[in-house]
Amino acid sequence: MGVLDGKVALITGGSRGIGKSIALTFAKEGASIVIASRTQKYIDRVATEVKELGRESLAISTDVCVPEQVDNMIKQTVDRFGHLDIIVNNAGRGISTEPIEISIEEWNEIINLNLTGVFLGCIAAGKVMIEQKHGKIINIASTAGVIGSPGMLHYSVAKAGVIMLTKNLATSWAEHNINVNCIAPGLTATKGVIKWGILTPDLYEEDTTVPRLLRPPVPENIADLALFLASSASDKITGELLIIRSLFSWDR
Amino acid sequence: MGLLDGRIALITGGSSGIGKSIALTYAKAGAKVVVASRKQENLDKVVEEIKELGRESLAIATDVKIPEQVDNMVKQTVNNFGRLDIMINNAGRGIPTEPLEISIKEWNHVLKLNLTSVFLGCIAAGKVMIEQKQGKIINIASTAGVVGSPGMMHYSVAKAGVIMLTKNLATSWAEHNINVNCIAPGFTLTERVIQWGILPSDKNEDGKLLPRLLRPPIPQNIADLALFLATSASDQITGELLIIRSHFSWDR
Repeated sequence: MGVLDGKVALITGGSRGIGKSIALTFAKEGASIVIASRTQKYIDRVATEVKELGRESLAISTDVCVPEQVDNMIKQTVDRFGHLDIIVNNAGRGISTEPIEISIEEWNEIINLNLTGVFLGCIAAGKVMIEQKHGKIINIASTAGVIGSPGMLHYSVAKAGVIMLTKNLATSWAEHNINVNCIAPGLTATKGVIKWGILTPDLYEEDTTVPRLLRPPVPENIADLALFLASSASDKITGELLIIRSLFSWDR
Repeated sequence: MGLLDGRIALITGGSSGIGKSIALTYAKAGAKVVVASRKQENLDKVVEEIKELGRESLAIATDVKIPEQVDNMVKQTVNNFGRLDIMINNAGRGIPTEPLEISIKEWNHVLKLNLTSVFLGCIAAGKVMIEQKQGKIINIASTAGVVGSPGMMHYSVAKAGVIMLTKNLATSWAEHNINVNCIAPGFTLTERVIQWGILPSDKNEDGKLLPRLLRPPIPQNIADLALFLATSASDQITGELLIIRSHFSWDR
């Protein structure tokens, strides 16, 4: 008996990292999983893993910056499963560029991907959830949107926008039994981050002696928090920002 | 298999309201539960209920404003159960007094009951948890400490202090694998609040029950969040403030 038995969850940016971890964690708790990101073969792999766990899964190739594609992603989900209970707007990425070096093209690209993409996902899901008279929206922001990130100005501005979007929609949709919350992970030890090489091995290796709270979180830690927000245990929490960064000093 | 099997939890202010709800929720999740508050007979009732759930429980009459009594409360817990895994500093109460009417006596009392008591509980539990090299401390603050409460100025100042105490101790004790977080409930429908009679209507003008997110939380909602913070699912969350107030307008 999983805490998400019978639920239908859609995760954008679900092919790797935090998104993939959330998809698998929700699947283990009984949800049917829709995974969206741009490249079909990557999301197909995750859909296969979900099916190996005995759950249904659908992979929909989607560019979250394009309104018609976001609408299509939702439509296909409802066509296949009949409803949409949980959406995790997770797709997003930063680029490290000093402020005066940021071109208008790069500014627009980062704002589109990290903020507008979340707005589009929220509205498309919201329309369905208002009809259903229930739903849970979980937006993945970042501590960059809380304390700033001078080397990623546009990214941190976009993430701060995601937090404010969350609070506003929570207010607007409370009457429809729709919970809207956001998670702000600090720097997370994803495979991508480990490959960048900015973390010393003692900060992510299994046999490390560094106390866990002095190491950055791993994707599964973010997924555990997302699971709490997806379950009925958090039915009375809305419009809130939940930060998860351990005490990793880069995020304070 | 409960999420808190084998864990030892201590809850101050555990004889009523949010504290009692946390105690019972933890017991249902498998914990052995120590409850503390001033009146033995009120605590004994909660202990009965926990034993009826098949769990071990201990009642320790304690005035959390008195250092020796707080030390004794923790000492008796460890003497009985061998250790202390989860400390909930929940005891506290506000007095509605306009700012100019607050006597120095009342100021000191409210600060002692709501802030100093939490400090005493954290330090006493912290000493044990540092020896154990693990532990979870959960402080119950209030939205009064976040958005203020002009009619209960001293209470809101004390609760803001609890939030800052939480952040500092999280930093100090991260190296010891001790998580320190706080919950800020908004206005919550406890028995005492219901008895006060200053209740918002739970129905709209047509007499229909308001949507759940437009009604205040009940103690069980707070307890569900406290359960998340007590389990390993939140192992990488520390120094954070988790607010639970639904969208109840008195708290925004």
